[in-house]
Amino acid sequence: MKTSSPSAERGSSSFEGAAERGIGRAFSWRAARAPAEDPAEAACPAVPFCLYCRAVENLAGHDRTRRAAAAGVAERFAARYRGAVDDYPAFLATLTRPPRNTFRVNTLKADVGATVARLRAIGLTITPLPWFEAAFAADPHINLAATLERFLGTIYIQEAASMLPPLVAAGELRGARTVLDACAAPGSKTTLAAAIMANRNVIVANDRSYGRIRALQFNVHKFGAINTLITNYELQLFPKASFDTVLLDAPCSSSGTVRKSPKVLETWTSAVSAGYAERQKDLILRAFDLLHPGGTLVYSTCSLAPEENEGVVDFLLRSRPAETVPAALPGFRFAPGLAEWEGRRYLAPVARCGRVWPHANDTDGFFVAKVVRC
Amino acid sequence: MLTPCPDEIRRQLLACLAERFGFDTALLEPYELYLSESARQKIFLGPKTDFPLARTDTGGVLIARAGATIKPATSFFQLFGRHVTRNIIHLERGQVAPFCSGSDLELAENQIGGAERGFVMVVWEEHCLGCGLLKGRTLENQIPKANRLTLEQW
Repeated sequence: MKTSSPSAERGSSSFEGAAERGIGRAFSWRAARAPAEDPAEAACPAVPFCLYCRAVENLAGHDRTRRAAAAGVAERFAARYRGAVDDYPAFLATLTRPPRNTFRVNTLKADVGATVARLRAIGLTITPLPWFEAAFAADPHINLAATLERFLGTIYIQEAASMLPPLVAAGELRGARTVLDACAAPGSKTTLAAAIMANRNVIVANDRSYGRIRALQFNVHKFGAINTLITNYELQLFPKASFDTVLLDAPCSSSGTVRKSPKVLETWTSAVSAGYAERQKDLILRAFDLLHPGGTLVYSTCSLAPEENEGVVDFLLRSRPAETVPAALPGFRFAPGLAEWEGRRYLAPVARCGRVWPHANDTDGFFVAKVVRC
Repeated sequence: MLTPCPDEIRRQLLACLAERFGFDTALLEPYELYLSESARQKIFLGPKTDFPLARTDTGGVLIARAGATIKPATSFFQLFGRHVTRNIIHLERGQVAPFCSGSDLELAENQIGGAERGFVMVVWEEHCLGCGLLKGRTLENQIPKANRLTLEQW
């Protein structure tokens, strides 16, 4: 007999009060969609939020020890940022909500006004995002992936924060003759950069993974990014070249995406972030070295961990003739880069980086930095 | 790796687009035509560049496949379809979802109009859906499998 768990009922009854109840109830929104089937699971006192019961169950069956450990991870994760975030209750409350159903109109293939008008004409509620004229949020229950616009490639379903790196560098991209998207697959930033550049000049979209190159190629075709060449290099081995603008959306722990993928917390520890940081430092040096003098590097991650963000930019500033410029986008609320983390002080220009707390713009957590080669 | 498109294939492609589809090929002049070494019959429209092609895996947008005849790609029609003036099949609303999901269609006589047997552009209202192959009153679906979609809300 299938039985909805008490924790599932709690999850379906209220999202809004989750912040007040604390992180122990966070991430319960999905429980409303997928109630736990095992009453014993619901009774587990060590796991106060349903999603984690389910997530860990997938990995370890009904191992209460594992589930309890996972609950501890979530608590440590949120508590880690208590002293850094500007509004901790709002931060927690946002983490309990699923991300918005956001997309952008692909201006390489369609007119923004006409596309939105058609989507509204078929009954969708479409809300513009204030910081990019082609970005919108749709009803959360709408499957945008099964719309005619998705078939035509006139909309690109993309988390809002993921649009930031090309947008904060829009001026540089419009003026660039050559652009490198250093870790490009699956192509969301490449195709947005191509749209900003109106398919003029050249984007070299590189990814080290041949499997992911196929997804990149598919999206370049589908979204009409004619000005794109695709390469398949480990960035450290990328041949000698120089570019006006380099986008480096670095591999990361993805800890900013917990609203969409709470399972990232299953494997999250600060040691994971530290491990990524070492690779990111290698990548940012190489990406920077591929710039023309005067060129602009846009470094980004979908991680909240300072080790993967401010720490990496700080490392670059100490290693190369680099200068940060403010990451800004009218209508979008960036927090400044952190001045210090766990006893380590960062160089003052790191504050010009843009830290995106999920609650500030109702997005994923994100980080973006603009660095100019002196 | 991309390679420059040989003159003979370029000539065939431009002639097909101009003559069969009434397409103004001057629209392609800002770009360059390439073949992919790994799929030599695929013609890509990419940027004019001095970036070494030997370093590329692929690039640009697939616009056609060369062979005994030129087969335009769905991605070409979806991008440049509004400039196509001939050999166009207009679908009824009820035919759109089956076409997008990969089905062949039986057309009414009045839907064929002046379209000739062979590759055609398939449209619904002002939307260029992709490529079809017209054989009599049968429209064979040429939407690539990866692009096919079951429409839920449109």
